[in-house]
Amino acid sequence: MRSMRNRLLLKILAALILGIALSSLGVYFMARREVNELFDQQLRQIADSLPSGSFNAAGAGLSLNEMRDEDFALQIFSHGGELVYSSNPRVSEVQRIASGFSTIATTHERWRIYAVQQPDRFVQVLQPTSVRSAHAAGAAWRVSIPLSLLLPGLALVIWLALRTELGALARLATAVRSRHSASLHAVSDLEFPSEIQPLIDSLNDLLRRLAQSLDLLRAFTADAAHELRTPLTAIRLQSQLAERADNNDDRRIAFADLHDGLARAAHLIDQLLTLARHEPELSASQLQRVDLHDLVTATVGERSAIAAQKNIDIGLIESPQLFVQGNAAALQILLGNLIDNAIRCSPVSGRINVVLYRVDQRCVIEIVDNGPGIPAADRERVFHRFYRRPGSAPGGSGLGLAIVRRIADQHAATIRLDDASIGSGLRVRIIFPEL
Amino acid sequence: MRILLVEDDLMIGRSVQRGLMQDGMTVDWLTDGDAVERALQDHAFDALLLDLGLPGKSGLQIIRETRAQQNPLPILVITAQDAIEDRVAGLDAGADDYLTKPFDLNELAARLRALVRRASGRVDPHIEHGVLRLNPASHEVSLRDQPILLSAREFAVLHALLERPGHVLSRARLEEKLYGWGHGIESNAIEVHIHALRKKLGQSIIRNVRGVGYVVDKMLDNRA
Repeated sequence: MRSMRNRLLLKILAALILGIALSSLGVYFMARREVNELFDQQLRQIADSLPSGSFNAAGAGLSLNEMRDEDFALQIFSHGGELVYSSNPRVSEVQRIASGFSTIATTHERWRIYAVQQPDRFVQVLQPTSVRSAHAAGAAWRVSIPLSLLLPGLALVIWLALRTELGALARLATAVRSRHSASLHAVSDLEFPSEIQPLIDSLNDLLRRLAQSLDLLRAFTADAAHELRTPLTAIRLQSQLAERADNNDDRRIAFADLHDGLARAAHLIDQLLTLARHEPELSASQLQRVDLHDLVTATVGERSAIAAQKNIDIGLIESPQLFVQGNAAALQILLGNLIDNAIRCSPVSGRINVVLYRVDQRCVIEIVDNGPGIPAADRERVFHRFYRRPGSAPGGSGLGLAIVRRIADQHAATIRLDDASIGSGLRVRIIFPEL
Repeated sequence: MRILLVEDDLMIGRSVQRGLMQDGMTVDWLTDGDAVERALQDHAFDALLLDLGLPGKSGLQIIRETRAQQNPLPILVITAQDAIEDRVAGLDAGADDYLTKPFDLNELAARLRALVRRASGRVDPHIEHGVLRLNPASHEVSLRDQPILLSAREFAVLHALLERPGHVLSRARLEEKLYGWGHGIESNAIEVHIHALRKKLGQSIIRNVRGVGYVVDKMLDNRA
């Protein structure tokens, strides 16, 4: 794991070291310029102060110490251009040059030279540039060394400060860790620095959404448990009647009832699971190109056997090749539920028409039955979980249309309920979003 | 014992009706709360067995209206709502007892018998009349400790008459107690049952008040 504190500390120290280096460099160059001016002046003074006549270092009154300390050298040329005096063999390579200041490189050294024509001679005063660099470097070191010595102390102070400030993260971690799974209230943001605020905000947002879905889940579980009581009650009574039956006829009737009761409970549980499994949103991986023609044909074909038991004539009126983006399995459940409802609500020998068509770039699946229909006032409530209309056909779980709504929402499709154009039945339309 | 059952779930209603009828009760069944008031006005029931969650008029509303009319009919509530508040609301509205779904058929029958017994002012579940002893739960009848075999209908007639000795029950009233809606009643059915009872228990046990009905006298003749 990477430590934020260590990394911050390293970065700050690196910046400090770079700062010290840069300021030393600045000091070096500034000192170098000043040293240059100073020594150039000295070169000129030495040249000007040389006594006239034949030259002898001692007689010139030149401070030899000074000459030695600062590594000055002297060359004197005759009128004819001949070297008549040289204070130091190291400068033997340097030829007579033009008057004024110049910088010359020899094999081993660079020289700063002041050359001047005097009445009877030509004088060159020389100094190696290294002397000047050493002076400038000395000035730079005098700045950088105390700063560098401060570094460990600074590092410690920064480290401690970081530890104190980053403690807020540790406190946040403790605040979150100390919670049990049900305490989903928001983390108080007063005690935390503003840098952590975005983290706390998104954490609180997540907690809020978690609490919401947990509430929904609780309500769903409570509803589900409540709804399971009814089929369980029926099963319990039916099994007791089967137990009591003392002749074959009674027993046969009782067991047939019991089977119906079990089928109803199984259906309710199936529907509960279907609803629980279908999250309000489809993930991208669940989306595919769905061939509505295949879907409608297959579902109508499959449900026709159930319809035949009630002598209901179910048919596909029109089914062009149409495609939508969606989840085929979910859409099959949606269509199956709608057809099941139509079969359950239709009278014996009823008629159910399924139509697939496209209007204004939208695919529409339409299911029309000739059952009793649903009054306009009730057309929203029928989508509520566990709502069953008074006098509605037996065998429903009260969940079918809730599942249909959930799956339609997943596909951004709208559901329309209205009257069948002929007779009293219901027309259901699933209208998919524009392609 | 004639019970009015109000239950919207077809499977539960059918099973309760069959089960209680096996226990010798007469059960009329409504699936809708709106029809209850009319049924209670038109027929004499011994108890009302009421589901709280009904389409149309709610169970609680039915209880309140029944009690508002000073009707003392025993009311047993069956509910899927197990929250205490719901039960309290039911009892406070005037219900006598409640059962939570899923319930046991035998317990339901026993509670109904207890409610009807209490409503008639008796404490002992057995009905004793001299040497005649009747157990409403087990449907056993004994005369001088000798078990007597009665058909379900014969038992129901005897039970109805012994419920209130000295009280004359008309033939129509007895028919009501014995037959629910939709059962064809033969014109002389009650007479046939009375005849059979007299044969098994003695001629004098049930007295015919001509033009009024039948009665079991308050003190049974020991020689019977």
